[in-house]
Amino acid sequence: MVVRAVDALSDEIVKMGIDEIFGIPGGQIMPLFDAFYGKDIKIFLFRHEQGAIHAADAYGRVTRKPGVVLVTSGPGATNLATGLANAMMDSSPLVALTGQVPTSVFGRDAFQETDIVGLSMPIAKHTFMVKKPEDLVPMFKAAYRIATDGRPGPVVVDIPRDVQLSEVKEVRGEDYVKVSYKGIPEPDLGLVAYAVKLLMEAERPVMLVGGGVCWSNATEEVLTVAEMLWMPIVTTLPGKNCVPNNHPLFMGPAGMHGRVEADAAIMNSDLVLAVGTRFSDRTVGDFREFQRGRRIIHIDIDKSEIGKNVKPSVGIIGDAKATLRMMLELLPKAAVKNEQFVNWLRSIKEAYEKFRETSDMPGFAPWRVLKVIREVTPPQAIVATGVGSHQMWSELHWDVYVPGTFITSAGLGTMGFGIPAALGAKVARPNVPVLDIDGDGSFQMTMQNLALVREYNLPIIVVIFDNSTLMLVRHWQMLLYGRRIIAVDFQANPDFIKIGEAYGIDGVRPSNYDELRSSVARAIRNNEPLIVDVTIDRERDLVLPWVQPGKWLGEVVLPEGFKVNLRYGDA
Amino acid sequence: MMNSYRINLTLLNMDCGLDPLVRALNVVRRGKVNVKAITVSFNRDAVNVDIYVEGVEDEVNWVCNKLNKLYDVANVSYTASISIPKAQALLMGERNG
Repeated sequence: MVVRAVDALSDEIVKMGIDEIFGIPGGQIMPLFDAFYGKDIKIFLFRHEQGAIHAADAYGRVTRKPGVVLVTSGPGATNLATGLANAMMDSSPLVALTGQVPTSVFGRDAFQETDIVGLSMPIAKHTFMVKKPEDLVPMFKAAYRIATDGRPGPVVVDIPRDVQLSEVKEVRGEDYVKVSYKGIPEPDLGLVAYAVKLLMEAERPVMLVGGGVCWSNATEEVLTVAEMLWMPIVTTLPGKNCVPNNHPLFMGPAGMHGRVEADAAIMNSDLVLAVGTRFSDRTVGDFREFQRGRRIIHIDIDKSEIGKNVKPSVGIIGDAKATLRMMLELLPKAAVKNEQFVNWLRSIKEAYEKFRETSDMPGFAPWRVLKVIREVTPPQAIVATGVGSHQMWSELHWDVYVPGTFITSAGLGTMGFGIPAALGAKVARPNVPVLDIDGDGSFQMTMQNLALVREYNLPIIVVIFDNSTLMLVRHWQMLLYGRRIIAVDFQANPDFIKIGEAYGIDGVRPSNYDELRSSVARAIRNNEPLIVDVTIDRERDLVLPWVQPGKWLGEVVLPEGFKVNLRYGDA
Repeated sequence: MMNSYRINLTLLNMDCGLDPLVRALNVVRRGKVNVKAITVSFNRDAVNVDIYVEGVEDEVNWVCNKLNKLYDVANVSYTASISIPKAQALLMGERNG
């Protein structure tokens, strides 16, 4: 049968079980939108392409299947750039389908022509330019497969309008497309055995968990290994999402905006078992110091991460789950446990918690806001964040009980990620409460996408930490630039409650913690959307503890009034 | 220690397009290596690329590992290079005046 290439693709997409797509139409992608007419697929019409791709990103993180985003050429496609880079940095699977001008006018500066394939190559896992109609279906299928092959990531498929509209007689198989799939490398048993030997020799081993643990579904193995060796678990920001934060060995995220007990764990370790992490400068700070006096075992699915930032004693290329299982086979059942080290770290944790319980600030204290919201939020609720001080407070004080329920822009640090990510998560899990912990700066970057809340019945709860400034930049200006505050304070923010009203969403500006608690609890109970505008004093909103960029964890700046000895053995 | 290396790449060729080559070069340009010469030949099924670089071996290895992640790279390897091929060296010299 002869059909348009887009009809063949839309049929295939439905057949593949893809039933939700995010996007915005435009001239050069109209044929594909048209091909979905009357088909069993739901298209979520965003108000900006950046919102659509962040939603697809979050959808992919929650469902573990690539989210699909569909936009037109030119500005539609270029508006995806931030979202592609974001998904690439956080290893999130998605497929971006972009319309393109007809091949006859390629390179002629046609209306809305942009070389999105060229533009996106360095920020996408792979890109396809479809030049022949019969290639469209196999290239999409290959793109969908690549997005989750090995380390997940975003893939772009650019489709000229004439290719979309051309007729195809037969649909080619996926094998037609020449692609070198990478698959999942098998861990080297000899290296795993050597790593186990090093682990057994260590007196104060620490596990550093990264986002790869989530993708590998290796939470159980992480906890078993840690419990066998009574090894403190420290995480990266994405790694916080991969282990229950109420586990007795969990010390929290380390690094720039990390927990002191986590920094202390790494500083005083003699071995770090790093799983599924790329050793971000945000986590490690000073790479040279990190490697001094401790052995490092690095497990990662991506060969290019081994030795990239940190030279390990042992580098194991493999899936985290498979590698840790192999380790478990080799670990003696009655391994020596250094309970004293863990107890010492927990005493730091308790001291910090106690300090935060007793310390306060006028108006709302960010850490207490998070604690109050957590109390009324079910464990399986999904929390997305924007980027800014609220995100760093969430890193420090939001407890993730169920792995996979904390969605944040970690690698790229994309302001505006929160609202669309929450919407994408709500599409993926309509029966689970979804919150967006946001900042007023971050909120304003993508707030137009709130229109989807009522349009598609996606009742998300947005809590805005409203300090009327770009707080993390202000923080650096205060501490690194001699308080020369410039271009960060908002003098005339809009009324966020009225913004909510405009989109048919109730809003509240609580005057105390009880009001905050009851309004969030009510919205969750009634599955209703809500905007909560929490006023925070920017003069006191410094996110501490804080490690200056490039400095070692031992140089952490602690909150005023909190003192702790971070050297094990001195206490 | 800085040394000379030859990175040999085999790219999958579909439709004689330049995309696989450009994608590979995008990786190389982010590596901490100095590119001295490149030779490229297109066959029916593959594109063969030799990239002559100067750099420390760790960085060359990192570039190769990054290249190996690409979905149109069929093969990548590197060897210590004695010298840049004469024809390429001449071309470079002419271009540099």
